[in-house]
Amino acid sequence: MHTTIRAQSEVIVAEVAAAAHTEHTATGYDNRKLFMWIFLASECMFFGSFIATFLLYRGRSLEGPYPKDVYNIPYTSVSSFVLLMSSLTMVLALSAIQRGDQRALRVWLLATGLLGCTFLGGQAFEFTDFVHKGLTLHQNLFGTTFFVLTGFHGAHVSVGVLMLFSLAALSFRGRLPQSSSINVELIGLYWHFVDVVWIVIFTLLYLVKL
Amino acid sequence: MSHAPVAQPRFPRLVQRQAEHHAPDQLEYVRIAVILAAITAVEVAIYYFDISKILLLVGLVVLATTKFIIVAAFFMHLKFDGRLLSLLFVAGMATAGAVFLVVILTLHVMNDADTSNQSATPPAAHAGHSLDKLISSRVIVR
Repeated sequence: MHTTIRAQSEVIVAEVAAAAHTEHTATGYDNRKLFMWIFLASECMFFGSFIATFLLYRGRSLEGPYPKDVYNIPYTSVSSFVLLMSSLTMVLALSAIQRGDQRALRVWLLATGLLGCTFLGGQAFEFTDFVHKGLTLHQNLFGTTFFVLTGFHGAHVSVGVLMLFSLAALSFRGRLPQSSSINVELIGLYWHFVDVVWIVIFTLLYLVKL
Repeated sequence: MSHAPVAQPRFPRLVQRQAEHHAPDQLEYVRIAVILAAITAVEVAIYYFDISKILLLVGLVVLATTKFIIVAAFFMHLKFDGRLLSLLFVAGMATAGAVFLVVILTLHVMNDADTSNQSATPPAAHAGHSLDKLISSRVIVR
């Protein structure tokens, strides 16, 4: 009887705590979610400027190496596939925490992080390969615009991987309950955005022949 | 235990959402990922086709836009959230696109002005004025 009353009171305390953290906002959205979308909108402009610069300076390098000298489309396609699948594992992680399945959450979070690391490894290999072929940041316009754009994208992926492993660590320590699914959702939005930017980069930088 | 009344949002039409159960289940997410992978395969395939560059460009842009919309709508749940979030995201992209357009038009205007004035004044007067010449003179950096 005493144990039952104590368990019930703990549930009530948890409900009150959850209610206290629920903000009544003018938009009806959690302010953190709203902020994340505003941040992603600013990131659109950030990456948009670099992509625009690459496209504007495309074909204006006076000396090589040129894109056809360095690109390995099959290799980059595999990288793109890896990042695409990481978006799937990310959304499965969100689905898991919304169901309250902690084990699945950890599996999918770690899978997303590992796929992100695989992508980063692929990028590092590709950059090294390009440098060996003579393409550096200072070599020509193509080198500068390519490495700045893909370098910044890689930095974003790196930050995303750190956040994913942090979430996984929190889950393993029992500090990521179902009521905190908004945290996974926010990191998920960031990760999907990083994937979406790569979709644009892969198409415009690698596949489009101008 | 009594709960405090939930305040209504001020912009209900912007935040109106579909019910939670309309969000895809796990199998749906996997199907969507398979579709995305297939589109990526098609993109890579048409890269190797012997077609005109314009046709390739149009095809790739259409496919990339499709993938973009699918990820934004289903993985980022924009389809199941209110319109406000979609407006925010689209506003960012629209601003980026507008800036890109302005830059392109500006460069074209500068290049056109440079070309039209060449016959009237000596070329040396325009040295460094053309953006291309400015870039070319600084492009080789060791």
